[in-house]
Amino acid sequence: MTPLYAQTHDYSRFNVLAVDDIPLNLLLVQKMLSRFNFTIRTASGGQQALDAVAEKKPDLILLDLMMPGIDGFEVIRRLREDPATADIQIVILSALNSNEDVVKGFNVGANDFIMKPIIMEKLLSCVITQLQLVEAKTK
Amino acid sequence: MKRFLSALIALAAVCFTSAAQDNPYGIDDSCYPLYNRAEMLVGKPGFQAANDSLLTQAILVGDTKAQTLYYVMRLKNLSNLGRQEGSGITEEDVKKGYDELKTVAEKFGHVQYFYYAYNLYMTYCYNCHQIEKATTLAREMQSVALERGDDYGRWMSLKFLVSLYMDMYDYQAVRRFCWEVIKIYNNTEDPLIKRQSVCRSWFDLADSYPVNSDSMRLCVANGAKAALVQMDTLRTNYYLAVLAALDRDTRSYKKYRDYCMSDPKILFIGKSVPTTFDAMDAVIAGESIDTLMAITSRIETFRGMKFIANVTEAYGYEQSAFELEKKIVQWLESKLTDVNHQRLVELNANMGVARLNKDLEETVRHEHTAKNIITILSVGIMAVILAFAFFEMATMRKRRDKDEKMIADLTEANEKVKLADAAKTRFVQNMSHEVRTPLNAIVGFSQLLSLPDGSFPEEEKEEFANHIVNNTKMLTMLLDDILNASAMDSGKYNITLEDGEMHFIARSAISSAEHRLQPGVTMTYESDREEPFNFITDPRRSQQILINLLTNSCKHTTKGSIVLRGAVDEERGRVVYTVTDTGPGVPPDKAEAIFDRFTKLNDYVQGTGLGLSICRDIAGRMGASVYLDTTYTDGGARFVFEIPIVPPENIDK
Repeated sequence: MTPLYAQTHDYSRFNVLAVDDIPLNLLLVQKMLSRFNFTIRTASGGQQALDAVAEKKPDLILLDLMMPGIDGFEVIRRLREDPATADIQIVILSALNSNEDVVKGFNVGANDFIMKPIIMEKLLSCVITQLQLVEAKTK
Repeated sequence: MKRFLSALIALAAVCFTSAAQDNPYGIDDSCYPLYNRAEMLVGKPGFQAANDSLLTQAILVGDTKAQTLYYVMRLKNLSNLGRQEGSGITEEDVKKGYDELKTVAEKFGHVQYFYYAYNLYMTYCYNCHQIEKATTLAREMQSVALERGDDYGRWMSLKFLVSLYMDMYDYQAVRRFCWEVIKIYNNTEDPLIKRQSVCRSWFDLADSYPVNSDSMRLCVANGAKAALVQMDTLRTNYYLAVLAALDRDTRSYKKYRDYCMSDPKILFIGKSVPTTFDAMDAVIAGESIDTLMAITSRIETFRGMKFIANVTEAYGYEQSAFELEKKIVQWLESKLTDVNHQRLVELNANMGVARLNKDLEETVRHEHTAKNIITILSVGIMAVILAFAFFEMATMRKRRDKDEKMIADLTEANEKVKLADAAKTRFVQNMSHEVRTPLNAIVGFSQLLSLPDGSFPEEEKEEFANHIVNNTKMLTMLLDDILNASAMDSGKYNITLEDGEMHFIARSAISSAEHRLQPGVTMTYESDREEPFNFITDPRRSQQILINLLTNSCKHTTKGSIVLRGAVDEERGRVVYTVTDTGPGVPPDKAEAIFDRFTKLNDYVQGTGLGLSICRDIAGRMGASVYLDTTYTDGGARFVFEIPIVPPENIDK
């Protein structure tokens, strides 16, 4: 089977929002996903993420947890509260790795949790699964 | 210490010399000479026989008070011998004598001797440098007296507490206890108290207020009013002389001084009193500062020295007064260190430090089962935390508490252990995040580089490689910080003195820190001095501190500039580096906290929170100093690093 990273797809119809306060992490995610031609936007903090969502609702959010101001948990909480944004797929990408953090992430409504350092194959399969779910829902 | 001892001896002497005239104890006349003989022989051979004959006679005539006095003498003798080396009398013997006296006094209903037993035993403890024990006994005596509604016992215990805290220079406590003594005196009907004078307490209270303050004057006036016996009058004249000198009323001063000096008991009010008068005479005569210093250094009490400094100022010799004040502060500091050291030694001996340490080790061991990447670092981190907690405990112990010292100490120690534990947990969590962040970049970009050729253009691949290298450096620095901190604690940190050059140290620090700059920020080195400046220091460590300060600035400065300045302060014999940035700055109330371990101002800026604490440790070992310039308010922060041009002799190599 061809590894995911070697496959080329056109997923430009999907709108992905990556959120992280460290610019290098955003760059890394963009590069890792570049093969799939998503429409990727980035946000450097919780508030920016909420603004970006308000501007255009994404299909998937890749979200860091530890950020100044509004943190990742709070972002999820707010998005889930609002019926207009409650159905967005959200994957946490975090260096926080304790069981409590993972459980808390799922409890507030995350769809998946990926620990940093990010293993590329894992990220790709997770992203594709989530987007297939989005497609299944819309059909 | 000496002062207190002499005061007590003086007190005893007063009691017993006046006793010699008219048998004030009201014991049987046949017992009184025997009592006197025993009293004279306290601590000397032949005491036992003399005291035994007192007891025999007392039982014969059925005088219970004289019998009680036998036990008083016995305890006096024991505590006297107990202080002498090689007398074979242990603390246990003294304690037994104390218990006996208490029992007997209670049995016969001579309540004053019940409390006198406390007094003697406390004095003994005090003289054996067991300040904590003496304080505890005084507290116990106070609560026993309170429980029994006994003014006399409270009065005695409070007076003892006054002396104790006076010797610890805790004037706030002295003040509180003095007020209570005076209050008891004013409200009580107890003849045992009313027979005595409250004058001394007024003067103690006067001593607890700033020299020449209105409060002090008021207390002296009250003391003068309360004077009952000759000793009081003498003391009153001493204080009046001081006040007259403060008012520059030389004529009155001379009158009071002469009165005091003509009294042979002058030493009983304080053995430095004549010297204090000599010093005041010298001030009034306008003697040189050297003469003044020489005389003042013979005064061994803080208040005495303080009087001289204030009189000197009153007479307009401000420079001399300033010099004296400086000396007094030094003297007081060394005294306090002594007192606190003694208390520390006593606490360590008594308070089961061993148990605390065990608890601490257990918590640490428990935590030691951390299971992630950090486990590798755990040993180092645990060492840091252990040392950190011990250091905190030691600092805590050195601090002076007001009262209930022992209980407070234990509770506080436990709190500290808990706090240290929480700080450690936070540190491990933080470290996990700190390590994972550069690791994410390293692992992530490596994966991208390992993709088949053609996945990314060459220049992008180069960029990825750079990210990997930079983050590896960051990770290395992180580990270095942790290892440095633990090396510092295990004392493996060496200072190597060699020739260093000011500009060279600064420039090499800049070149090591430059790559940490955020885009758009500049880093420059400036100096008013063009020619090289060579001095003896540890160039590598100096550089390390500068790099640390510079990288710190890099982390926090997102726009503007970072400027390192080097200067030579010839006057103070120091090379002074300053690092000024245009970052968010440090709130003034955090100026010291940022030098504590694990303290980070901003949790979202990368770092261990160890850097500044390491800087300060290293600087301390070099005789140098690192601090935040709180006077700098032009936005951003300014850190100062000062190195002595001539290294101090006691450098810990």
